[in-house]
Amino acid sequence: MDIFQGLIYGFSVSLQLSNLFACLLGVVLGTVVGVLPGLGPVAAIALLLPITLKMSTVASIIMLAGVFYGAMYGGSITSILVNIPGESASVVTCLDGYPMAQKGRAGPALAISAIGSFVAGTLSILGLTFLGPLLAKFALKFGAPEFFSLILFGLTMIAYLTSGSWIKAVLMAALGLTLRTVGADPIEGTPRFTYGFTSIMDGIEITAIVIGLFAISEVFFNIERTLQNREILSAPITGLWPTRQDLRVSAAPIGRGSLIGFFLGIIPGIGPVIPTFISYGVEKRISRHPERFGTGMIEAVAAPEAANNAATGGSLIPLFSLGIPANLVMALLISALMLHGVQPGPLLMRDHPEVFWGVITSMYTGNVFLLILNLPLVGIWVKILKIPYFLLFPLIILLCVIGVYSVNSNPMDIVVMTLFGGIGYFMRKFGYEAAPMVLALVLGGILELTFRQSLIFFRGDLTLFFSRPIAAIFLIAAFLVILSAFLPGLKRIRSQVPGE
Amino acid sequence: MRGDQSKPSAAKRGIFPEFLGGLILALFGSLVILESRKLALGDLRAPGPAFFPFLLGCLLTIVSLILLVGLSLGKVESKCGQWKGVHWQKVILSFASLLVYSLTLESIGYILGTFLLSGFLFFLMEKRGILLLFGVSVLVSLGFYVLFKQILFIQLPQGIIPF
Repeated sequence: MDIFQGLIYGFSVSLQLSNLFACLLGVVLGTVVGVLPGLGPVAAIALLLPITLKMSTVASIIMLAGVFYGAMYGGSITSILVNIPGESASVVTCLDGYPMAQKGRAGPALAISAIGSFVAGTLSILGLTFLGPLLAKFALKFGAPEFFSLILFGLTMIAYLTSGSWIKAVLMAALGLTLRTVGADPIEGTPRFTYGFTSIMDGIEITAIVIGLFAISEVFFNIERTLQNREILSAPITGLWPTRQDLRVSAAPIGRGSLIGFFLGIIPGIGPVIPTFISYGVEKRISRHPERFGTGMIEAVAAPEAANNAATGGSLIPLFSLGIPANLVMALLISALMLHGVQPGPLLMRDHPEVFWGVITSMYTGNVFLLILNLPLVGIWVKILKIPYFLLFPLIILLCVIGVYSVNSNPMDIVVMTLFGGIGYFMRKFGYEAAPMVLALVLGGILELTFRQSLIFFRGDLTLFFSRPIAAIFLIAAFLVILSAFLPGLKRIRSQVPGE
Repeated sequence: MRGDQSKPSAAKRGIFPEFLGGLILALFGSLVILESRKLALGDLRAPGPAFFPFLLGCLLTIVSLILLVGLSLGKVESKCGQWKGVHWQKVILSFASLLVYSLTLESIGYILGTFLLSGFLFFLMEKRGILLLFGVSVLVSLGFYVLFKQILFIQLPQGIIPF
């Protein structure tokens, strides 16, 4: 199936009524979690994972992907109107979005953010459409040593790029990998660290851990402080459509932001946050008026918003073509595919074309939905912010409880979630990032399997990893990443990297 | 902290809770090494079930020890300053109530359990009128039950309420 046949086939799948509904539901939920504090796309997708068991594979992934890119849109609304990002990829949007709102230009800021997101989202899907199949064909040449090296490189990048201490990030990745070894050994089937509990023979329930680490710990972290309900821009948002001058000034930044977001999004560990900072920095550097950045420059809203949406499309490339998640959300999409018995990777396009092409084409539709939803309905999204905290946080906890319980109908999963909520709270307090741990949990199984297969294949000769060019490139890249963590200049740059 | 002329003692910098965290991770790593030895380790040519966990245990222990040394030398920044002026009691009570809820859910059932948990959490977040909290808790527990059990067909424990 060539690309154009694939696209036609994909649209025939994604435009089916049930899949259209899944897409709409996903982008609406995504916008809501993007707007709401205390529930980011990671926790929301983890919560929805059990519910997807009642849906078809295609509809599930379409909905979960919709939550991800919908959250990118939603996050910008709170950044512009309240000066508080709904999720971390919208932090940069606050810098000029909120000053624009203060000057009475909230409408054009919201509009350019939606337009930029739409254009970038569409461009990145085009990139995914053409690059994904090419990379998948290339990845068919991968054997166990290549996959092992690639995953090791990905984990190294994730540990390297998390904010805070690099040592702590490595510890978290090691902890995640260790927790993944609980259960049956992937080659011989020998039970490991199960201590007679048959319920953990298949491993510890990842959903409970993710919800605990990301949603429950976030609630704990918020309730320890006295939070005042937010001051929301009360003036009606008028003059929504940007002027011709606004569009002219924003066109090139949207293009640059799309390219930066797309290509950085492909790299494991980058995620949607870093491209927003880089694209803001690029715009400021090439601007004729860098001193005006931070005072309400429309191009400073357009570029990062384009970058974070383009990164979502880019990050789907390694997922679909290699079966490797570029960030946490992609790791959860892998879990969702596996829950449905679908193995992500280079064979996905051949074995499950309905998933590959259906999801890609649904993103075109999803972006149209978001454009239609975001601009006229911005008032409704803002009202969500008025939910009082004394109601919001308990409701999030109750949603988490039901989400975790519904996986296996086992109250012990709620205990695991609560414990990891507590662990996640302390991790935040002490500057330990949860992202490397969760990614290691998801990737640990395949990392161990490919490592042991490679060792058996090479008869224990580790140097033979370097006899395979692709494996050698990834291993050297991983080594360079580790080395760079100790270079003073790069250490300083790393310390400025924002967290997910 | 880094590069201070006169470095204060570890106690003054308040790193002991973080030091304890590093120590727990080091001990956990050592435990993984010990437990791995109960399984077949194999060798590089034919790695056994314990091979990977054993390596990870070593990694955890070594990196934790590096962290502990880094903390005591002030090379790793401590995050302990964020404990001041926070309502940690609310966190402990929320944590405890969730644990009690999960352990009693099967016996008392979803509706009653969720009513009690939500009532307690609403009260914990903000002191409001008892009638308001009661009403909201009833609405939430029944609303969740109808949505998830009746509409989404998710299995929820009945407990002592017979529906």
